[in-house]
Amino acid sequence: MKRLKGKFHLSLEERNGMKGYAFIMLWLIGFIFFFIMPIIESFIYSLSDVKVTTSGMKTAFVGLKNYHEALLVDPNYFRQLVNSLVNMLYEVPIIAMFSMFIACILNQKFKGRTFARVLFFLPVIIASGVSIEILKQGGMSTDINGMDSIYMFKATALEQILTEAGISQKVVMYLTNLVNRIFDISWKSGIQILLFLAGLQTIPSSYYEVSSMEGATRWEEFWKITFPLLSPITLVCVVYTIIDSFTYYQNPVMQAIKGSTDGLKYGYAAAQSWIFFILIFFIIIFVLRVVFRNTVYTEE
Amino acid sequence: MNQIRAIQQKSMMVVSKISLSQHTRKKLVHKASNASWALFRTLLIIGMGYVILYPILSMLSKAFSGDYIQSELVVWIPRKFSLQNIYAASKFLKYPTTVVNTFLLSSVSALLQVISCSLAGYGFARFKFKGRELLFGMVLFSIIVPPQTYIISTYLKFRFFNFFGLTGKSSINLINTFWTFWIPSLMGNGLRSGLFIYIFRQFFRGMPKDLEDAAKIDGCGAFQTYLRIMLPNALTSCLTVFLFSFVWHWNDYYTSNMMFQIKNEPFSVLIFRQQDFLRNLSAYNFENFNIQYMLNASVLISLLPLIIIYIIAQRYFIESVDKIGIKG
Repeated sequence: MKRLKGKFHLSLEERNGMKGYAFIMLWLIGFIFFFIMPIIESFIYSLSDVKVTTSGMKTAFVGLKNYHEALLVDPNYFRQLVNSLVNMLYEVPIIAMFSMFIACILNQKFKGRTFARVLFFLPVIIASGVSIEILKQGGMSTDINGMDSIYMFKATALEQILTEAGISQKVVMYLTNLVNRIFDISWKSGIQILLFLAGLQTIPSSYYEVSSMEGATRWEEFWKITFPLLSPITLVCVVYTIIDSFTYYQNPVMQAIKGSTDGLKYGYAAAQSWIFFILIFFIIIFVLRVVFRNTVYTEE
Repeated sequence: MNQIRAIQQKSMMVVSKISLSQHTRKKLVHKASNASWALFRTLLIIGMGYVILYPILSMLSKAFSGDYIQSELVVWIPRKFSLQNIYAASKFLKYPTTVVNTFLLSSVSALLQVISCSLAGYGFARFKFKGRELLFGMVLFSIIVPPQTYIISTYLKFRFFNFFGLTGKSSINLINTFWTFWIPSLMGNGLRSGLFIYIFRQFFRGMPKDLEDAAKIDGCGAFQTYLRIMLPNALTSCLTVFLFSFVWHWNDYYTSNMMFQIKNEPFSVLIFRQQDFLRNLSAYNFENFNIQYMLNASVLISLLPLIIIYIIAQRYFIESVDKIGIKG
């Protein structure tokens, strides 16, 4: 009897561990039911022909047919993938730099700072898929047909000047594209500004005091203190922006998946989203391993 | 000797003069650079403010416009004010009902998320158990998986709802009810729950260990410690998570569009439907309304409650930034 009791007797550490499980239990059950199971099911769907009947799902295993169709048969899907990838490569560095810059400004002390912060966080509140699309359509141009109005501001004058100056067409295109995107960028970087601001708060002010005593300029302070200490936050921001840019509802692949779902082609939609997910996964791994391998962590 | 001393004094004076002038020059340069920076900053903020406020102001101007055709002459102030766009939009959006629906959906989900995510975050922050790192890795993993990967299965889960076989062989249809959002939120797997768990974990990790020890000595159990000691201290984090969750639920389109098809739709779904509806109508050339004006009016009235809440609670949004202390 005593031995049995000894077997069930938990050490303090183990008991603590059980408490930990108790705290995450709700999440864990939900995670299995609402995440693990759906993800496995969707993987099975992607490998099968799915039909919805009144009694439930009917699946017939077809192997890699859906994947084959998405990548090699469908004329649009591959192009949509490349489009959203290019779009992401465009946006992420610009948004990261822009939001870091704005956060540094909003972190300084000046008159009207609260007002400026309220202004810059406004997009976080309003920027939902549908509303922002409608607002953009409204703001972009007076053209009733809605033609030629992808961007709210068009830098035609800038384009002309640069072309006259003999700068290569590609560079001009990139620059004008950048200017035209100001609206999009400033509206998409609300959360990132917030994250950077929170990150800036964690840098001890004594670092700056010491460096200014040593005679460092503001510019040097930024590159030697702020920038390296912000690198963990930059990583979070970049990953967030990548995910945001891919899961934005206007993303061409998102639209394609929605189209397949609306057309009741569940198996095909699942395959499309799995290809998309694998692409995102590898990009994020690449960012974590290659781009940010020198991230500085101060604590722990 | 005297001569030497005089020369020495003179040279000293010269040196001090030079250094003084250098000092003032440095000061002047510093002042000038500060002033120019302040000017640049002000200009930049005004410019960005214009970019951010432009669509909002244009929305206001369009929503209250009484014209049918967009005129080249009108930039901001419409020639004729009228409430007809607002009226039509509020009819299409079933205004009072949808406000209540969207509010109920967002606020209850947000509240449930605060509860479930803070519990999970506390568990991950303060207890050591087997597989903790792995499970927390799964939390982070769930942030990066795009919802479209599994939304179809989630939809089918609610269409034929049967929680681990609790209802036997029969299943319940939960589509078009708020449970499609409330149940995942309660289970810590709602909209962006992974991010919220991460935020809470970061916060609880930063709390001093002594607090818990003191509570333990006073006879608190683990759950009581969490409820009485930790949660009151995490009030700012709770509020931040609540506000963000509320806003994201209010604006969510993708999941809502899947889950609400016949009734109880929130604003985002209805506005999208209205847009499709009006575009189809415009194919028949109805002359007595302007699609853009109508849609702007819809967006305005759907965002109005959110903007009011933001204006009231903006202090918490902004303060939260200073206090939440998210670290990478």
